[in-house]
Amino acid sequence: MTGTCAVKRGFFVLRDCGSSAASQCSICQRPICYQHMVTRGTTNFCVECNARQLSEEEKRARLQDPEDDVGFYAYRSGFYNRYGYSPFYSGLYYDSYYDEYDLRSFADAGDDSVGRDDDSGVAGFTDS
Amino acid sequence: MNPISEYRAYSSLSAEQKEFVTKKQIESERSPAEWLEFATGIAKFDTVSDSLKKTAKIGCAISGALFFIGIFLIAVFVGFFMIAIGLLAGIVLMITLAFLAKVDLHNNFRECVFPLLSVLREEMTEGERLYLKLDFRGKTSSEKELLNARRSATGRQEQFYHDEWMIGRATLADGTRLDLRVVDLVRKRKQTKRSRSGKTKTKTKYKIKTMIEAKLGLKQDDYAAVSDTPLKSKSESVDVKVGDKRNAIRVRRFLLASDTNTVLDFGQVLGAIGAAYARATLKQDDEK
Repeated sequence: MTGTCAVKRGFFVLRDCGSSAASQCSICQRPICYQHMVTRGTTNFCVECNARQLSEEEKRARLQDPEDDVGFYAYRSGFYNRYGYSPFYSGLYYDSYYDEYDLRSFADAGDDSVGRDDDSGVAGFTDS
Repeated sequence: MNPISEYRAYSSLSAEQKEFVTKKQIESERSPAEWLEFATGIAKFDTVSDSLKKTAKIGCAISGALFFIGIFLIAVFVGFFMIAIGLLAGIVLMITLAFLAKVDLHNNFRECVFPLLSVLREEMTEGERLYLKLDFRGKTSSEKELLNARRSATGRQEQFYHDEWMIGRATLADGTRLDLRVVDLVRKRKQTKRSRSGKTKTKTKYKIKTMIEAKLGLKQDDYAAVSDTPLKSKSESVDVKVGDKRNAIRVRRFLLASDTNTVLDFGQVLGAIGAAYARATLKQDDEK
């Protein structure tokens, strides 16, 4: 697996993960590192696709669970919808996966070529 | 939940964690990951404690019933047996409850501070340190009482408490300085009334006004502060100050509750920080 992990870190200001990709999400096909990977059976998912399959109650409960390492990502997506918050984005890598978060971009962001194949067909940040 | 798992959970705590659950206060600066490590054991212990407390209370009620029924059956051997069992179990359970009360933390720790640490771990750069001052000695502990207590002629007594139970300070990954403060202002109202039959009844009511204060020091190079963004609700105030190096945005949120055990929704704390960020805009290259 080549490229860098496509999952964004942060809560109020999103930033690139920066780790090398170890696998690919079976739903969104994005490259993901070990830290942002959830494995069910033999299938790998990114923490965000995994979170999008949860109910609001589950998302909330998982952040309060001391055993849950990826509960943060489950809660994050629910928070943006519930509080109508638009996070800032600082980083180099972007794709349309985060369009629903209505991101506010830093001036130097927008180079969406890092860690992404040219023929991926995913719109750049500035297209959203 | 049984006392053995409670004992195991308590034994697994470090000396510092044990000190915190008994003194219920901590002031320290460490990385969010270290804070989470510290809080995880305590959160697990507190979950076990809460569960055991419920079981012990039910056990106490059963012991009392056993003791009471035993008195009526004292003429037969089983009555003595029931009194003995009820008394013994009651004493053991009362001691257990006294211990649990001593080490019990307000659920704000587990359900508000803990998830907040998870968010700050992601929001901060690795190696950055988070200052936290936590105080869970109780909302109406004598140390927190204000000196403006009132007593009316009608027998109504009012006491006020200032419970500043969380103060946090950190530098976030984008260079923004975050200052966080959660304060509960508690009004305890005790009303004593005498009925016509001569009985005296006392009712105690609480009113808790929680103030969440989130202050952001945003880098002047990256962010511009916007003060004309409309308020989301009347229970929120915003203060914007433009500085040479940083723009400061302070958001205060107020919430009301009538029970001292009410747990603060950590989403409200994050919402206050988010509301401060919402008053900022990014500077474009030509503005820098």
